[in-house]
Order: sequence, then C-alpha cells, then structure tokens
Amino acid sequence: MLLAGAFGCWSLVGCSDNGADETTLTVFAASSLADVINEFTSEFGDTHPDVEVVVSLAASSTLADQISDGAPADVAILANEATMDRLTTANLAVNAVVVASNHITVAVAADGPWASAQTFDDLATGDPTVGLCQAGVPCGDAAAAALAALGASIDADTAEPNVRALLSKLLDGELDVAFVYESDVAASNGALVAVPVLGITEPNLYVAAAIDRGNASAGLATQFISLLTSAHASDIFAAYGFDSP
Amino acid sequence: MSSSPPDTATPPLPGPIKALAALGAALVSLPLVGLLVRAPWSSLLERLGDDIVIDALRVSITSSLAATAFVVVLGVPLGWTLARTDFAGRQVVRAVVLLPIVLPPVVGGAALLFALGRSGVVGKPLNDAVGLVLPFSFWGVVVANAFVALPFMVLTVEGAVRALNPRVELAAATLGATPVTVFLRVGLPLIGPSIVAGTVLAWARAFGEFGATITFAGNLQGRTQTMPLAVFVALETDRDTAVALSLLMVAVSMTVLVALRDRWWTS
Repeated sequence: MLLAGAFGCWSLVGCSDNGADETTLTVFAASSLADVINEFTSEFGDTHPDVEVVVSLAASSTLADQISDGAPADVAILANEATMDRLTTANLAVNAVVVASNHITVAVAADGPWASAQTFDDLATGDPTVGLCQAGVPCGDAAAAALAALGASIDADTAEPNVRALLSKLLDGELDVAFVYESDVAASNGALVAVPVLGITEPNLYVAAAIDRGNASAGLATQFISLLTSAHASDIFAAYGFDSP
Repeated sequence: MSSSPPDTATPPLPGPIKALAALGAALVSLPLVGLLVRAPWSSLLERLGDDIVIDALRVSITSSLAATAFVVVLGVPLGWTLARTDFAGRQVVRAVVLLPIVLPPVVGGAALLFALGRSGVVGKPLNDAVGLVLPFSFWGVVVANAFVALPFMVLTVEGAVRALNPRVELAAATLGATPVTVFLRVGLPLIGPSIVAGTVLAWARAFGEFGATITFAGNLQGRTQTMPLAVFVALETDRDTAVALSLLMVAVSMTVLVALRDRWWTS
C-alpha cells in the first residue's frame, strides 16, 4: 500500500515511451482518485486502443505546482476547486468541469477501540496516534476547515504529504485516527469506519480540466474528460464511494 | 596528517579534460545559482526567524547529531569487523549493510515501518514490552537518519582498516597490551582521520535525509519535521520560505564541510 505511490508506474499502463506510433495521454490525478482512475483509464483504453494513458498520482497541490512548472500533463483532475483555480487563472487549464465530490471524515480501524467514538472527547481518550494531510493539500485544508467550523482542534502526530500516504499508515495500524475522505472509508472493504464527529462537512469538488500546452493531445484530453462526465461515470464514482457533483 | 604534495611539475592537462571538469562543476553549482537568484533577499531574515524554520533547524541539528553518535558507536566496530574477520556470509552481511546507499530512502522508510512500526515484526514486541513507539517520534527521525548514514561510516572505516599494517598492532600485543588496549590505543588512533571523515559524511547524509524520515517518522513541526521536510511542505504553501530554508541548509552544510576540509582532509 505504502509503496503504491512510488511504484505507481508499474500498476498502470506503463511509463516508458515504447511503440513509436502510439499516442500518449498523460493524466495528473489527485491521490484520492488512485483506485477509481484505473476504471476510467482501462475504459478509455478499450475505446482508444492506439492511445497509451499514463497516470501520475500525487497531492493536487503538488500536481498543480508541477503543471505550473511545465510538467507534460494533458488532463488534470484535482481534489478541490481552489487548486484548479490556480491553473485556470494562469491560463494553463481550460474547460474545467466538476466530475465528482467527496467529504472529509474521521476514519478509525473498524475493529479498534475508537470505532464507537461519537465525540471528540471519545476520540481523545486513550491517547490515539492522529494523522492528517499537510496544509496546502486539499485533504489537509478540508480537515482544517472542518475543525475550524466546529471550533475544535486536534493534536496531530503527523501531517502527511498526500491522502494515500496518510491512508496507508492508518491501514497499516501505525495511526489510530486519520482525517481522510469518505471514499477512502468506502473503499477499505470494512477495515475502516467513519466516526461522526465532524457532522456535515463542506464537499470537496473534483475538477477535471484539459491542460493547454499547445500539444496534439488536446482532442484526446477533451474525450477523456467527456468520459468522466458521462452518466456512466457517476456510477463508477459512486461504486468507489464518491458522490455526484 | 597527509604529507604535502611532492614538489614536482605535473604534465599539462588536455583541454577537453578541463572543459568536462568545468561542465561537471557547472552541473553542481548552477542549481545553487538558481537558489540565490530566486531568494527573497529583502524578507530573508524575517522568514528565517519564523517558528517553522527555527523548529525545523532544531530538529534537524539534534536528530542528525544523535544519529551521527549512533553511527560512530556502531559503524566503527562494524567496519572494523568486516575488514578484519572472515566469517561465513561476510559478503552478504557487507552487501546488506551497504544497501541503504543505493536503496531509495522512501523504500528504507517503508521497510523501517514494517520492522519497527507499531505493528512491525520488532516494533510490536518492543511496544508491548517497554511501550516504545518509534514512528512519529523524534527517535524515529534519529533511527531513519542512522539507517541511511551508517554505511558511509562502515565503508570509510573498512577501507582504512584494510590499509592498516597489522604488524603495528601485533607488536603492541607482543609487548603485553590486551586486545582492548590494542584496539583503543593503537588501532583507533591510526585510523583517526578516516573516522573523522566517516563521521562528517554520515552527518551530512543524516542532515539532508528526507524520504526515510517522512515515511517512517511522519511530519510534525517541532517533533519530526526536519529542514528537508519543512522545505517540502513550504514548496507547496510558501515558496519564498522554501527557498529561505534551502539557503539555510546550504549555508550550514557548506560551513561544516569547508571548516572540516581545512582541518582534516586537505589533500
């Protein structure tokens, strides 16, 4: 799990530029999309057998920085609107569209002592090890906003660089409590439960956009984004615990 | 310690060699120029006085020094043993000990987590027995630093001991010195300069460590957030502070390396 990010290239379509006449579509996707994105790339591959889809996963803020610095992305799917706004304002992202939504939540092991926690006091009992995402990363900003809205604060033990790094430490049992997404809990096959301490939180909206760098893949980027906004796509997103926008 | 170079003329260096040497120097120094050009000079002092920077500097200095202490205490005997004793599997032990040099630090951090994490093979009994939990703690940073830095000491000491003439130590033993005395009073002083060099290399590696630290020890200001981690966070939130932090790291590293070069490894 932990190594998934580092070895991401292997599990996806591939990173090497083999096949001289193959076109490559490079998709930069928020960490929290790590599982669901494979459904879309394989479906896109079925209808575009001559296109190699390469996915790069990282925190949305990291991806936005990389794109600003000239990274060769064709499509970006980021985990909040504010981060995408940085790219649209810089005229790098075009035709931004919301494709799904998610909510930050507090996740704990389903078989652990905090599974029945109802309040922050319950969560603080027994000195759990607590993790969240670092500031600037959508999951970190969402956690901070949810806590601020409640006037609550929490002593975290670590601020992780992206939600997958955080999630893997929770699943490995190194963390007791983590501020991850509802989709992460849904995809955990019952290993995690969400404790309802945050109440109703503001949704994180996933925004997809084509990255305009004067390249030949612009048409493909548009087609990939159409796939993400199709009626069928919302079923796929829902199966992985995401909400419709 | 080293003798001054012999006072003889050297043959002229071919032009292409000089050109490649200049390119090599440029490859290393150009990024430094980039940092200097990008630096927020007008607000530099103010940024360096920020809590995040001061906390990160404190965690970095204390953890890298603690890791270096472990590396000296464990690495010198390990290098010595590898150089002087022949046991079954010595080559395997040697390869494993040197592995952190080539292993990506993030893999090292993950491996540390699997071994010494709260539910790791060693970490779980350790936690049950004495309540010691390394991940997300200052000592987790120290362990991650020591893990990546140890091989540099082992390599340096092993090479020095191999170059040592054992007759000197044997002579001391003949004169009645115990093995401990021979090791401490004869052997160690003979390779003193190499131990210093190994210490500096190990410290430098620990000071710059990133991947194993963030993977194993997490990232918390004032506890586990070292300078490299603070730079990584600041790159996404406040690039000017990231550059200021980077300059501070360059300054500290250069100061140490230059100061020690004059004293210990002038060639």
